[in-house]
Amino acid sequence: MNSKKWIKVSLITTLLGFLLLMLLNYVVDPFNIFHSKVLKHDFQVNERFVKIEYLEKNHNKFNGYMIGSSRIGTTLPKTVEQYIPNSKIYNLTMNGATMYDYLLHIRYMIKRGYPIKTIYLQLDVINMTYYGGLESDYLSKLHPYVEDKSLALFYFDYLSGFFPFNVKNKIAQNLNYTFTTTYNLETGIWANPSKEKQVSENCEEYVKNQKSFHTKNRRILKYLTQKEFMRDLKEIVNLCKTHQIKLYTFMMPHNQVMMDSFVIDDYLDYLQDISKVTDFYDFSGYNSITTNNCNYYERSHYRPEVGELIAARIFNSKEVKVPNDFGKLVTKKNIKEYLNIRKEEILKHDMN
Amino acid sequence: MLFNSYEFIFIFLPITFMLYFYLNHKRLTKASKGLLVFSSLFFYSWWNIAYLPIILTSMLFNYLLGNTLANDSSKFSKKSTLIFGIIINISLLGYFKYADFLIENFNLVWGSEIKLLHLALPLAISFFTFQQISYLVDSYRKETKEYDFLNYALFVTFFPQLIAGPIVHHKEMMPQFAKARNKVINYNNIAMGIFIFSMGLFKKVIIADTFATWATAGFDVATTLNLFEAWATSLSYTFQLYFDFSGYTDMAIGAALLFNIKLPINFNSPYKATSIQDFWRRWHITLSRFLRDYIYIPLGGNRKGSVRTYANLMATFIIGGIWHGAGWTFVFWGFLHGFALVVHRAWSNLGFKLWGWLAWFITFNFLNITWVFFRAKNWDDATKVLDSMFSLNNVVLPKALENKLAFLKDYAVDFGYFGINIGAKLDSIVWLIAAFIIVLLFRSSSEQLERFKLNYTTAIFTALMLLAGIISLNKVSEFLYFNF
Repeated sequence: MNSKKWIKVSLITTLLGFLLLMLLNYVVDPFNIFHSKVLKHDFQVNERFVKIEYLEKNHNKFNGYMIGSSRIGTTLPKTVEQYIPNSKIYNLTMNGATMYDYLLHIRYMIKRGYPIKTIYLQLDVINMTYYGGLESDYLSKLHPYVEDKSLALFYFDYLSGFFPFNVKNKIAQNLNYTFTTTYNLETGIWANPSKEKQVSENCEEYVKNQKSFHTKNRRILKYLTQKEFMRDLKEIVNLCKTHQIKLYTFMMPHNQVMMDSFVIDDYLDYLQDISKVTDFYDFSGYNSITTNNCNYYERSHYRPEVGELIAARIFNSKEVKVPNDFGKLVTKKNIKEYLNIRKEEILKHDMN
Repeated sequence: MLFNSYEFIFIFLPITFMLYFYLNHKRLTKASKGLLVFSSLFFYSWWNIAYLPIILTSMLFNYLLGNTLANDSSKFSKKSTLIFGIIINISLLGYFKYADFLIENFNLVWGSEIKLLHLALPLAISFFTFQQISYLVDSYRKETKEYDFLNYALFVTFFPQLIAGPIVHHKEMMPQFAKARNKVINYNNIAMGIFIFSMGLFKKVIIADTFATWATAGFDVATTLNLFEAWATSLSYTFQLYFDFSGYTDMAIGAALLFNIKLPINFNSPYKATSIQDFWRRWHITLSRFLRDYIYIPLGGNRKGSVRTYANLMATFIIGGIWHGAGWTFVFWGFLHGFALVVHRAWSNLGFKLWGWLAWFITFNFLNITWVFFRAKNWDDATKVLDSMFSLNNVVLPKALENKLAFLKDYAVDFGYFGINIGAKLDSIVWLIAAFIIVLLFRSSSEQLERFKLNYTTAIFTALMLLAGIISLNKVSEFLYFNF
């Protein structure tokens, strides 16, 4: 073979392989970017992309947003709407979201003139460890408009990437539909009817079989994002003040297994930092909700009922009975005393 | 611009290639050289154009000084001129790379509170500084010819080797740039260039970046590691560094071959080494060559007795350590390698020999352990990994073995998710085994290139590597040696 032919063969083979991959990505559409609908059931959805895509056309239907990681995704908008007259809330839950996602989306929505009166912001203790997004995480890539990037390059990125796990599982999902997580673009929530059925029918059995409740954790998660977290939270608070947006901030109720992984002093410093910027409701710690695994699908995600209790506490509902130890308003004034109580509670838990 | 990026592979490289040969075809050879210099500076400025004046000034200064050194009628003493040139080059490097390190240590010793400068390290400064110091020394030794500035600029900035080497010598580059035959498209070189570039791309984006996940988690994120995790962390970095840097070099060699330029080899299966001396003849060969020719030999090499030889070796490797980074962990890493070379030399002088497999085992483990200091951001990170590598108090085995090995619980062995702190699962073991097989049983890239044949097998093999590399370009990550 001469060298010219060799070059042709190798480059044409590469090109054909590349085109084939692009075709596969378009047809399978593993992150539901192209909406090709050749395969009916989704396996994973890039929520950040599809939600902004949806809101670009429908943002006038809403005047408030629930913002947080996937953990807020089980809470129905009406849970909050019932307490705020004339509100129409959208659940902008984003899997694995950090402060970076929250700020960029809030900035973008304000800049684009979305009519916003309310932001219901859920903070994670996970936010104290992680910040920003991974370029290689295709499930969590931001909509290019949010980052002021090119839509065409975004599509090219999804056409030219190699996603064996997602492609395989989406095909399997469609060959043998068994699943599981459903997404509702109109409200923004996600649900898992199968898990909900299991846990509501026989909680004890469900918890017994759910491995994540039985992991032994060590306190290794540190507060690594202080600088970025504080900077972004301050900006969110200021943006809300400037644009007359009512901001409700709360710390989510992490399941006890998750709570076991936080370095105590770092966790307390994190709570203290939030109180320096804004008042917030704290639902974290070892309380009657977080220590009852029946309130969770696994150690990360709580069930819709918990979301209802959170809203009831924040809006001081007289109709919903919220356990006394669940949720406390934390302010600059009471933070010191509050942290002492929290620390004592954690040390007591660890002793046991 | 990264070699492993769409903009380099699909835009920069093809456009530069086509324009270069078009200009040569039109016999505009000066213009084609100018184009290569311009493209290289564009390639360099892609990250941050603020660095451009630094490299331009450095080039101009060294070019003028080199000419002065080569010029017999110069009124300045040649030795003083050379010393002046070296001091300026080292000062430039020292200012950007070591100022904060020196201030920190000064503050520590004297209790002062001088503020750190927090200077951004100009890209490739360690490489182009060394390359130009060698040029000055050679000019002083009358080993250079008179080059015009365009040729000199091309020698320093030629984009395939500009950022992370190989550290080239003017003697091996200038004649190639001048050769008329090299200005004509050579399809054989293009085929070899594509072949070696694809191999480098595969090494970088498929292998090195996979190991990077576990290495980063173990060194930078995990607060505690069990025995398996600690070894997986150190071995992951050992392999990441090799595949990353040798992958980069392969891509540099491949890109240069497209322009009919042959860069020197930089790696020759270093993890097959059976002694530390053998390792340094196989690892970052052009740096070893520089350290030997411009530090070790001028210090006296092995010509002044055993004690002086050992001192020279130690000094050379401590300088090598500092060259890699401004930190005591790098100094210590250089010291360990220098010390190992001294021990090896003394051992060899006494006539001792080891079995081949034992020599390899000791060498590889020494390298794996010393890379921990090279990688760790501070002593705490290094001791975290090393303590766990040699402690039996934190052994965790897979849950599946619990029933069979339950008796080990009496010896504080735990059973569970054995790789949780670094996100490692069984596949990481498979990757580690595969990496051992590749580094120990496969031929090096340069050997593969020597044996390269034009046939369907190599064409398809190349296409698969290229395709695998291109479709993984989304995992953009920088090359480790960009930091040095």
